[in-house]
Amino acid sequence: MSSYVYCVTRASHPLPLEDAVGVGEHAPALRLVREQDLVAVVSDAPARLRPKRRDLVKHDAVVGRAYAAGTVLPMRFGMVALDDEAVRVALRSRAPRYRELLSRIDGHVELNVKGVHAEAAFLRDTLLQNDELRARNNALRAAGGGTHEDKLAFGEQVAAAVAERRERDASHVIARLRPHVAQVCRGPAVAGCFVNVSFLVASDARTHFDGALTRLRGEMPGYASVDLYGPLPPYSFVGNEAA
Amino acid sequence: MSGMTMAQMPQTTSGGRLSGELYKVVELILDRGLVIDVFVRVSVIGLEVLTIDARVVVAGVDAYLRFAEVCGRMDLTGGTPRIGATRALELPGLAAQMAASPARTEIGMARDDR
Repeated sequence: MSSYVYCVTRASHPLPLEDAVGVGEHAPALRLVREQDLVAVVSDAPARLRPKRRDLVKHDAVVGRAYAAGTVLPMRFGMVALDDEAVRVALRSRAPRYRELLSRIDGHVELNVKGVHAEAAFLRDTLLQNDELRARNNALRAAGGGTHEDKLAFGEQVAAAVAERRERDASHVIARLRPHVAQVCRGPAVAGCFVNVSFLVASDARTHFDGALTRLRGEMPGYASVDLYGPLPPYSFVGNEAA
Repeated sequence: MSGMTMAQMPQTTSGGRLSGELYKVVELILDRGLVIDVFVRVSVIGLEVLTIDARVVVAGVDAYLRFAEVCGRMDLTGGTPRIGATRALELPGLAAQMAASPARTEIGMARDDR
């Protein structure tokens, strides 16, 4: 039976997982695979797995419970080993690296920041700030909207301006928060967000981070909003893609 | 308003403590997190949708036509840029549409049925 892996942590972690169950229809029991001073939380892997809400919630619940009681390395959703022995072998061969990652994350939390532009207001501002685009829009309106090709060409020009302004706003958000964090990791692109970025923040720097976020929100234009999610298990800072 | 309803739906349907927030950071669980190269990643159909979606929103024919259409509804003749004017002039429907865009709901909700 192959093993679905939730997280890796130190053998000394209390891992209060009594009521938690694993992913998949049959809600398999959780078990611990120990190797040296490390431990992996696993369950039997379900035969089929899709990114369903139910299973994402279970994966995150297991990781979240462990995380609430101490430092963990959260696995990406869907990682399966051949069996528990393969998990042990992986822990053994990577033990120094996992110890180092755990030490680096100790005392830190992941905070995820997403910035959203209210689209119509943002587009309006884009036109107001760009004489050429505004003139072209006025001309198209005067011509009753223009041809399909006119609209397409104009829309492409708007899209280029939008992309540039999104990146500018994203850089601004990151620059304002960066002084208060240990690490920065840009997240995957998400629909509707001009920035998706995670920060690894020392617990004792949280007040400074929150203060900077409040100031940032105060200086953002009316069409932009910035939301904070977390503290989260450090999904973005376990070595794969952390910058 | 419909956008708000979509965004909050998971909080009311799952009962999980983190479910509302989970929905907002689902891309991190799917696309970040520790990977061990000798492990297999189970076939997770639909994952790609999440990461390509944002590019589809800002590039491509559909996006260009949508931008042109939204801009075409704006009367900016003689309008001088005024700081703070944008908030009042916002068209609420579009922001809501973006918040509830198909791919977002697909990852979070719709795939449950398959």
